[in-house]
Amino acid sequence: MTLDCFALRIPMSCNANLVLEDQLAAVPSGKTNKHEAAQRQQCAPWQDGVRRIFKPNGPVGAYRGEQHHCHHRMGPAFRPTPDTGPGEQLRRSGDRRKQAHYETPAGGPNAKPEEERIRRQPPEHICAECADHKRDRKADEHGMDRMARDGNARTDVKMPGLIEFGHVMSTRVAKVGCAALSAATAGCAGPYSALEPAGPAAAGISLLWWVMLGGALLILTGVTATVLYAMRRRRRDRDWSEKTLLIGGGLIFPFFALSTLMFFAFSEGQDQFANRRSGPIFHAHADQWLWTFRYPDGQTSTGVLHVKAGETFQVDVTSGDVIHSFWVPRLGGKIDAVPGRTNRISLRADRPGAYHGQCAEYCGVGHVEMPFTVVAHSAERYSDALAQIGEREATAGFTLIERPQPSAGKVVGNIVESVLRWLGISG
Amino acid sequence: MKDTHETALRFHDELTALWGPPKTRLGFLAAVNHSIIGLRFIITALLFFLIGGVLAMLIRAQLAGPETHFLDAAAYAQVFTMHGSIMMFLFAIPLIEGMALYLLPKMLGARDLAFPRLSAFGYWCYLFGGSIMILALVAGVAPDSGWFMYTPLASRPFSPGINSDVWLIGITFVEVSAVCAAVEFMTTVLKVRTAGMALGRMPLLCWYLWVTAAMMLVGFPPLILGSILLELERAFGLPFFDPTRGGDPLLWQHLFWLFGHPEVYIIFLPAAGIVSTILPVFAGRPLVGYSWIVAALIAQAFISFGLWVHHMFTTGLPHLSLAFFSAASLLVVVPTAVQIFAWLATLLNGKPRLELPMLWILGFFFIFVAGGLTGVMVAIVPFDWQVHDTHFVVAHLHYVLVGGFLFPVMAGLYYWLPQVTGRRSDQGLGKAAFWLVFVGFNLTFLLMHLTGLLGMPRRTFAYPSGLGWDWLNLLSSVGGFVMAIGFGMALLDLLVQRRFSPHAEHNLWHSGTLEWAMPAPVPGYNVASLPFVTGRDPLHDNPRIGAELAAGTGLLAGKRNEWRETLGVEEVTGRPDQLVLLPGPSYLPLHTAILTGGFFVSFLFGVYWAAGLFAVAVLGVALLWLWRTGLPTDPEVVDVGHNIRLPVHITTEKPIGWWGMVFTLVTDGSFFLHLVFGYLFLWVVTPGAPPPRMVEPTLIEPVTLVLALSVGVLASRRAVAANQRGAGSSAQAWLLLAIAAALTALVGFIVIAGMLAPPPKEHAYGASVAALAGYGGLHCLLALLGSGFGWLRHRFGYVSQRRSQDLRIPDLLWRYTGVTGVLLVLLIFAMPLVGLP
Repeated sequence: MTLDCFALRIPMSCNANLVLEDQLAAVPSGKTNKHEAAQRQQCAPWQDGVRRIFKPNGPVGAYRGEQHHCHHRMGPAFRPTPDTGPGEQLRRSGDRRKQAHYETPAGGPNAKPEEERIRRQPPEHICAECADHKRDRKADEHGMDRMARDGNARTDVKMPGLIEFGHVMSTRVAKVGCAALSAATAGCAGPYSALEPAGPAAAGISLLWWVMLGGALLILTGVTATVLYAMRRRRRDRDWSEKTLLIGGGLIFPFFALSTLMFFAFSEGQDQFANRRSGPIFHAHADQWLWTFRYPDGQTSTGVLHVKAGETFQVDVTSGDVIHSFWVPRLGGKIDAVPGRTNRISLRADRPGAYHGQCAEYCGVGHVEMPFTVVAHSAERYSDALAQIGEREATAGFTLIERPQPSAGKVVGNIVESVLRWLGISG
Repeated sequence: MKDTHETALRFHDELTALWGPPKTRLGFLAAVNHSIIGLRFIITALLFFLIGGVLAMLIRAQLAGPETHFLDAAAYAQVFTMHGSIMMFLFAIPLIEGMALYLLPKMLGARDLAFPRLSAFGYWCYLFGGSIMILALVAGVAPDSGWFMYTPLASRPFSPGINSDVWLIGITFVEVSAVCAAVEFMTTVLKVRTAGMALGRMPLLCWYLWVTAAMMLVGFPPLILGSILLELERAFGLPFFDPTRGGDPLLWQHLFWLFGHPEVYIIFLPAAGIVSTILPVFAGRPLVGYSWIVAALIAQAFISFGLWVHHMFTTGLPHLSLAFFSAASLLVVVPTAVQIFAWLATLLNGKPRLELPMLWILGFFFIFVAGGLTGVMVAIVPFDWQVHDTHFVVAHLHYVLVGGFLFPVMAGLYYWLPQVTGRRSDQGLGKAAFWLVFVGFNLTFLLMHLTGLLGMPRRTFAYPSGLGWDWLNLLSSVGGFVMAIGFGMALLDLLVQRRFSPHAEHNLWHSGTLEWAMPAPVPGYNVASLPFVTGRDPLHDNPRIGAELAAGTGLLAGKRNEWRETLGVEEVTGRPDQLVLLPGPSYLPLHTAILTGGFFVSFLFGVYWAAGLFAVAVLGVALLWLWRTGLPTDPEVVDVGHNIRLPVHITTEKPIGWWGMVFTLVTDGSFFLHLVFGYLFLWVVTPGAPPPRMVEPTLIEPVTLVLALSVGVLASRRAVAANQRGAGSSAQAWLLLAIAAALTALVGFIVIAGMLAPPPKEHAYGASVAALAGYGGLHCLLALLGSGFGWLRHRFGYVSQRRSQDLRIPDLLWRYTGVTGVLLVLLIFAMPLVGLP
């Protein structure tokens, strides 16, 4: 059994480098705009060799180039999967539906020569990354202003002031919080981290978290300290007023603390609901175990959703079989894909980049194999990106593969077998 | 003095023989005594806990590192589903039932529970149902859709094996025992107490267990209903939850969480009751705010039924309803805070001493408060959108359940076990075990909050490296194993106590409640004579009360007529108003449970004709069981001692059986309401195609049904009245009329289901009409059996003017059937006139 499915979860994998390398080779010399080069590489036609290997999974591979943009922002915690073998690559792309859970690689000899190419890190690529990094840094400096501007622009927002405050504060508080915690926890960053928000919805929730965490720590410390004090106290010099404790601690304090919290939380929720009327509407359809996205112009793509950075967009989420859940942690909360219903979620990516999503509701044995990516493009490149979708999907040639039924595995047999294998007793 | 001692020994000998199980080789199978059954529940629950714990360790082994190849996805699904199901349904609830069974009569100063045979039946149901689940695990066909079994994943097309059926049938079988226990606890606390124990003098744990039992009565039916509907969908294709045929997967979620959220409080409240019992003992003073706590826990019980939607914040409901449930979820914090501050005030104003049980209570404070605080966080709608279905929620629920349940229960085991064994446990081993569990637990689950916030969804069987999850999971796994070792040590400690620990002094913790007035180990009859209680802590008022009761200074000293006697009291004041005669050991509970098991197993394997035969057999044995109760002649009024003369319970107006029926009907009523909720939900809320056909509008069937039901109710009432007048033959005639009316109504409901309703497999509407008609028909059948039983009892002389319960209990059933039947007719025939929304 292999876990090749995971390569999908780490879209930034070897073939992205490969693609990038190919593209950079195709860029005319003297081209100085590295960012554009990196951006363009996904749009350029496939190199023959690449196409031969990765044809069925074209789009995902292609986007990996751009997804690379964000990775330097993910901090040291994020590390792309190294050394994913070509066999796995092939299976991942070809039998994506089946995910070749239990199958042996079919990639074999044909893929062998590519291995070295895949592992090689082209110097140009690294430079491109640096350029992007600088650019993003720059964007970061103005990020606050831009967010504030966008907040004001939204006319349907109930409490723009509060929300702006939320965005700004959440970023600051998150930074302070992360800085404080990072010493102990190696950071809150990560490709799926809800604590590294990249859009207003996630930022508001992140702020809520830090505020609630602070309050919770205070209360927990207070209660624990009281209990320890009571246990330690030797001299009973004064009696505590029982009525005061019951009324003050049991009724008044929680009532006011929770009412305040409820007010802010309701505003935040109301705001996220109010956003559900503006912007383009995309359609996300979940099947066991794949996400298919449909665009306002009727195009479809699988596994990747292209959006415009800085623009609020809606996702209408549906399911074709069981309940799934659409979740891009860095952009916002999740919404279930319930068969028979259409649920909407409103998101925005503040900056161009690739934001990772996954299915959050247990949906069968392939539950872990439903990652997807929301790629946010800058406004000027968005139409190009959209134009490429049809081509890529045509090249990709996805076909609907029959759904493998979850087999009732023999748990005890499996456990014994696994233990034996673990101990090295049986092969 | 010597005389007193000899009297006490004489009482002990004769009462032990009377209350014990038969002394034959298989006699233990006939045991019905609450101490024996309670211990069986506790030990069985602890065994299931070990199995669930091993599964938890498999999960932690699998997640210890990225891309582990220890279990595959399918095996992992079975493991996490079974871990949750076992811990919730086979460990937590039964352990509480066991402790309540064991403790309630002792704390109330009674000799046994109201329906001892029912508790034995409940135990067998629990054992057999749980065994079905474990056997399925061993056979590799355990449930694998998660412990809340969301449809359509758990439905036939996506779970074609019997895995889901095992869950639905096994859990329903186990829940039969929970509902039996709930009825029993309700009746016991209300009626079977000792003299003078007014409601306001009851130990707080009894209040907690009483409120818990009430919650179980109302909270379990939605789960049982959901399981039945889903099993009907899986077995016969009735599409209640199938969105392609008018069903709705969200209906399952509503029904499940209508049970599932109260369930959290059903688990928490008894544990909080244990805290409220143990903490004052070790604080050396009575608990602060008795009436505050009673009010708080009743409020908590009510609010907990209005929170279920907070498990469904991401299902796409409108924000206003989310906000409502979010507010309710925050509101439930208030009564919890009242209890926490009452405990704190007790500690602050007492002189706490740190014994082993208290150590676990302190652990409870930290972990439960932390879990409560993250509970507040996940009640916040936008925050829940992020952390729902992630490891943050996993961490939260373990903080609440382990902190709010397991820690107090461990404290309770350490506190009460000396009463069972007569010994006290080893301090050193116990302390080491506590610290291992405490440290291991926090290491596992504190970090897991961050794992969730970094985006790791729950129920992922493996994860790639490089997402920031690796070291968190590794440490969680290390903590998990440390905790497992700690629990192993604690259980070992409790186990060796019986053999190796030193004998404990009597009432070693200096408690005030009545269970410590009993000898340790406790004899089968509990007390040789029943005390007259004047305060909340009888042992503090009179430390010698135990010896005095053993010598027969209380009520009901010794035995008479081979009767197993205990007192029945007025509901509020605790003044004795009847002598309750309890049934003795019997194999009937075991036989009934075996036949019930036969029904469930045949259903599981799809042998429906055998299931039908078993159902008939269960009804037959149940009637035989009932037939053996009661007395063939009118008993005299009895002197119970101290010049108090009481009637035997079957001659009173409201005997315990009557109350048992009332509480059974409460749980039935909850079932009915949830059924109606499902019908209306599918009608009003569910999107999708409307039904192709409605029930045919007719007049004759509904009118006949309403008439038949009215005649039945009236006839049953007239039969009771006639019997009261002494007009025996008239009563029998009315009963025959009631039987005829029940038969007519039964045929009416069959006609609705079979002829008037659209085909049930075509659309959820037809299926839900069939379900409503089935419910009505089943109750007509029960009313028919009730009246028939009353008629037979009357003919054979078990009913007289004074012994009328065999008529009045079926009469209650008749009234219920009449009211719900008319409502059903309205729902079925009037709704199509209203039309679709």
